[in-house]
Amino acid sequence: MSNVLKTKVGLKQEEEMIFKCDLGSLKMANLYIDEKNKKENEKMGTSPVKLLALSVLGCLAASFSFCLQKKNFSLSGLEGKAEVTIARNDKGFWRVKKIDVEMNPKIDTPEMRKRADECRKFFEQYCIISQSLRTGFEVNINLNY
Amino acid sequence: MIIISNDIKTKVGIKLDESESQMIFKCDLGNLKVKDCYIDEEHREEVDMLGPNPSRLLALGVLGCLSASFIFCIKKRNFKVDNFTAEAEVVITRNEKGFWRIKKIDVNILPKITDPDTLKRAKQCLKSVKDGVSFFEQYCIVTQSVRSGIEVNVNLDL
Repeated sequence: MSNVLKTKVGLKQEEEMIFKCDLGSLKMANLYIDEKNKKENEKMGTSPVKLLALSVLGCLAASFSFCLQKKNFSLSGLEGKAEVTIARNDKGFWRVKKIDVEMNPKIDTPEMRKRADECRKFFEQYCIISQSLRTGFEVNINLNY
Repeated sequence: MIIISNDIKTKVGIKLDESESQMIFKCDLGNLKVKDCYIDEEHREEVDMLGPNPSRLLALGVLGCLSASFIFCIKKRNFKVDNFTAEAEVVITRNEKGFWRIKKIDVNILPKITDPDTLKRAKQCLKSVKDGVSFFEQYCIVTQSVRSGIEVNVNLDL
């Protein structure tokens, strides 16, 4: 199994369109997927599309941070945003068309900037999620520093 | 979610956590009722993890979407399941260049249905339409969108 990693998750229906997530024995409080409530302040949890966007964003941010850390540089801050565009395909079904990612890391020194420039060239390759999804839809990354 | 003509747009954000770690990110999901959400790529032990890692988030996206599509299909005829659980396993392998990539996600959907009419409806939802994809899967945006890049196997136990 050395060349294979496995990850498991589960869920249980709580209400008709609200599902309690089973992420294992994490330290975090409960996470819910809520496809019932439409207003944000009434939602118990997030939607599957937002989870998809977060997985792409989190993976890219971790890959970039990891690349800097490899040469002992630490970010003093990083903010990222992702926007998912969903459009109807030729058969009329809603499908993810693209995810636009914007990442704004704080680069403090010229040495760090040099390393960030190197990371820019290859950090995406180390993101399992975005590279696995890219055959299905566009993932556009805008890295600003 | 903003609807502009025939496109739907959804936004999320993250911010690097202010702790010493460089691998924990706080999620911005909007003004949800939910408490804080973190993506944790720092800790390896589950009990130490402040939140899921991206692979688990992706698996939950697929699992949540398929579950909601199935329940929606049942609800369309005003039926209800007695109970519902589901699980997903993500398999990650190295590609020919040596990079880790998601190879497949195996999904197990386990509804409990005792009423014969609900069971009949569930079987309709499971019916294959074009391309061998079942009726309810067609309505799951996330799964159908990721399928060109990742194999998603769905097993629904009735």
